[in-house]
Formats: sequence, C-alpha cells, structure tokens
Amino acid sequence: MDHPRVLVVDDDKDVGEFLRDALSRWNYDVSLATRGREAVRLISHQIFDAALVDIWMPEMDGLQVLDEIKRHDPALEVVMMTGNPMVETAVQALKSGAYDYLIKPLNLDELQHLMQQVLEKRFLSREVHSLRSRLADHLAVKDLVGGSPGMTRVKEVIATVADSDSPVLIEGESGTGKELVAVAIHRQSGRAKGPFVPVNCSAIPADLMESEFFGHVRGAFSGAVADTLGLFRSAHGGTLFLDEVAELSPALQGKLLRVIQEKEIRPVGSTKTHAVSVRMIAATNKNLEAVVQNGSFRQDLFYRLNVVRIVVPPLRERKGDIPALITYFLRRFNERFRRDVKGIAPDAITALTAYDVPGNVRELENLLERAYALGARDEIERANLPELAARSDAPVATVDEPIPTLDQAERDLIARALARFRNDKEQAARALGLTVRTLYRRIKKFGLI
Amino acid sequence: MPLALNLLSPTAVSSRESTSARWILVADGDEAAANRVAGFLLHARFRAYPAARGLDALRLARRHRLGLAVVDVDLLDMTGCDLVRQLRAIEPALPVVMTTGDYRPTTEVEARQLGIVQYTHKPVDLRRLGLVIARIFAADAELRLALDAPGPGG
Repeated sequence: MDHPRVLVVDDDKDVGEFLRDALSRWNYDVSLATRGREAVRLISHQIFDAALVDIWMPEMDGLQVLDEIKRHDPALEVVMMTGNPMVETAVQALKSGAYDYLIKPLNLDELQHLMQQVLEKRFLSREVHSLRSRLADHLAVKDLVGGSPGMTRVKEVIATVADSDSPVLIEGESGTGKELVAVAIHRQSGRAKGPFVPVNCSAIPADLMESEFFGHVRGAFSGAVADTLGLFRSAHGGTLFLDEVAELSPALQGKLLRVIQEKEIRPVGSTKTHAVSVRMIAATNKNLEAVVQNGSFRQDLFYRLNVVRIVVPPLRERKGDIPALITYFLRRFNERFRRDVKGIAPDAITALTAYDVPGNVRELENLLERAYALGARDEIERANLPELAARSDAPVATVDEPIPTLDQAERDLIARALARFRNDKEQAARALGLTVRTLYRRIKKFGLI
Repeated sequence: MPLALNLLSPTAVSSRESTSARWILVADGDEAAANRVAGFLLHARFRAYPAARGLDALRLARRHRLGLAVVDVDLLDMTGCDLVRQLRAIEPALPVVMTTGDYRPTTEVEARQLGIVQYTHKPVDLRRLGLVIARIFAADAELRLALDAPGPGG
C-alpha cells in the first residue's frame, strides 16, 4: 500500500495543518475535517486506513465521532488526541474501541511510530475479516516445502504409510513442522474425510488427562454436568495426533497402551465401554528411546507407537530448502499484509543461510514476519532482519577486520541487548546470563547510560 | 560469548517472556458468564479480559500477548471456533480452553479439531480451569528457574 489514507479530525485548524504536513511527509494521503459531522460525511464515501481524532470539539465531540467511525467501519483504527488528558475519557475512548490516545503537544517521533503500528494492525484486521478457511486447510501437503533429500524422504514415507492404519512416530526438533507431517499423513489416508484431532500432551494437566482423553459421564465428578466424548471418541473414524507424547503421565501411558490394544475406551465415571477406530500419530522433540531408557516412558507403549518412524530434519540440515521456504512465506505474507515484496536481497539470503536457525522453520517464519512488520517493501533486505545481524555478525573476525578486544565485544553485546529489550535491565540481564547487579556494573564501566 | 548471542534469538527471547505478565482472554457471547470467569481470574490476580465479541477479543490479542484463551462456542459476532482460528493466526501456540452450554457431541468434535487443552460444559468448573492455568504458569516458572541458574541456557 503506497499511500495509506489518514483522516485527521481537529477543530483547531493549526493542529490540522501541522498534522497534514507531517503525515504527508511520511507519505500518507491526508484528509482534514474540523467538525465531527464533516468527518462522518468523509468516512461515508471514502475508505480510510487510520484516523486521528481530537477529543474536545464543539457540536460533536471526539468520542461521538469514534462511535460513528466504529459503527461504519469497525476495522478502521482510531487514535484519539487530547490536550487535556482525563482518565475517564481515556478509558471510555479505549472501551469504545480507540486504538490509543496521544497527548498534545504531539511528539512527532511517537506519532510516526504509532501510525506505523496502527497501519500494520489495519492490514492484519483485513486479513482477519476475510479469513474463512478451517485451520486444517492451512496445513495442506504442499506446505511441506522443500526438495532436499531429507524432506523428499519424509514425503516418500508419508505416501507409503498414509493409507495403512499403523501408528506413526514423528521425531524432530521444535519448529520443524511435525504437525504438518501428521496432517499430510491424515490427508493422504483413507481417513481424510474424518476428523483430525491434535493434542498437545504437555499442555493438559495430569488431573484432567483421563477425562480429556476418554470423556466422562454426567455426575462423574463435581462440575460434570453432561456427558463428553473426550479426545478418542471425537477422533473416531479419523486421526489422533499426540504431540509431545513423552509428556504423557505414566497412568495415561498405561491406559493409552490398552486403548491401542483393545480399541475401546471407557469414559470416566462410566461402566460402559465404547469401541473407537482411531489412527494414532505421535510426535516428540526428544529422543524417545533415551526417555524409555531412563524410565519415563513405557517401553511397551514405545514399541506400539514406533511401528513407523519419521525423522524430520532440522532446518540447518536442509539449508537448500531455505530459498523455497522463503518464497512460500513471502507469498503468504504478501497476501496477509497486502504487500508486493518481490524477493529477498542477496546479502539477506546469505545471512539467513549462514545462520543455523535453532528454531527451525517456525523461527524462519517469525524472522520474515518481523521483516514485514518492520516495513519491508520491494524486497527483504538485510536491514529488515536485525536480530539476524546480531547473531551472524558473531565475533568471528574476517582476515581483514581486527579482532575486537573482549571489552569491545562485551560492550557491543550489552548495548545490543539493551536495545533489544528497550532498556529493560532485567530482561537484558537474563538474556545475557548476568545478574542485574552485574549488568549495572558493566553499564557503568562502559558508560552505556 | 556465542552462547549469549544465541540467547538473543527471537524464539529464545519470546519463550522467556514471563507468562504471568500475559493476559487471559475470556470470550463468551453471554457477557455474564464471561464476567464471572474473568472476575474469578482477576481476583486470583491474573490479567483477565472478558469479551462478548470476537472483534474485541482479537483487538486485545493484537495489543497484548495472550497466555490463554477461554472461548465459548457462541459469541455475539462469530463462532468461538472462528475466533480460535483467528487467534491462532496471531499466536500459533496459544493454549485454548473451549466452553459451551451446548451438550451435543458434534460441537465437541468440531472444537477438539482445533487442538484445545480442555473442553468444558458450562457452568465452567473454576477449579478445573485453575488446573489448566497452573500448568501453563508452572511451565514458565520452571523455565525461569532454569534461566537464573548459571551455565548453558536455551
């Protein structure tokens, strides 16, 4: 979007002109209104991307204008302005849907930054309005991007095992797309039309596991007002995906084994059993064999789940896939942010490839999303990947550059941490592995404040 | 030195954000029900925010990092399932508890396909909800303890 459209509503002409100048300099198309009615007329036949509205105006005050705007276009973000801040008014404005409020006299830097944020939200909210598809549709087979040997193998195994009912165990680091693999298996199986029920085993409290997995009947415990199906019966005819399966409680591991063997479950508080036909896929970012060795996971259950094992390689072992992944994400983000980023600069892609991406594909996605939020336009530039700069510029000096002294390197690192956490000493200290006190001493030593 | 640099990675940092500073969204088309649960949480000193409309819920989610969403199947302007999908576009790993006054099995099947931590009929059992919250915050507490200890992090 080249020229976002901003509506400025202020009865003070000087303020209006001042804002129009500033906003135009920042490449916004500005419309001015000095009265609420005028503003309402403008929004009824023009589309705006953001509005700046003064609270204290004669005839129709800013809060009324806010209401009108929200009634007409709930997704249009409005920033209120006031020279006379009052808590009640501010709270009322926020409750009525204002994005934020600024106090006059306005600080231009703050305004510019805020406008950028507001417009990003506007892009996101448009995407939200048009979102129709079920979550499952997002995770299509084509989302398993990459032609590297590792990914090709994964896709081959998926194709081979999809159609049988045998359990599958997916191993891979965090962020490598294990759920995508599970969905791909489901989609290619005879159960594709049935439900796909994902479970994060680490998120469910131990006390709730039985009733979540097997359901319960009315009266089974206080609060059980009606029967529930539970995860297994909800997945009947389809696939149950157990993510972080190593986190299952020992009690549940035993029950799970029995379900796999008997193919039936018994809800909590019931004497009746129910037959279930469910295909099980489990995933873990741990070495499950090692977990079995140290006794936290049942060996018999492990054997039952490990009929087919798929290992999803970490991103650093499939760097050849990075360009394809970038293209995939750029297409997605272009649609979401309504932009036309055409590609990625050579030094940016070099930096991404040199970096070992510990968070794998999910982290790559985050880095690119941030690049968009930071304003990437025609192409992703190195400058749009600031965190990356901090990492891949690691103190490995080239032949030409002098090696920094430890002091210089330490000073630089502390400065970056402070910038990263916006001067929050606690967070910076934590990230650097220092106590806050030590950090303060260093800051003093290097004169960083 | 490289270790500290690793700790500056966005993934590492975002997972170190204190969950207890995060908001709990309580979305229910029945405002009284939303307020009841949010009130309980506020009383227990959590940042809880009730919303009867998905749009209000999403506005909150874009402004503040959510630690948990308690979402009813029925909201005033959209279904709870639609809201959950949109929340997940903002925060993919967001834990979700779904509530409903509708006891039909088909409702449960649809909800569970979103990947939820708990499915509960109304009135919401606050004790059981508390177990979910304790689990989410306990994980964070462990992470923070691990961080404070000397030695390799991440």
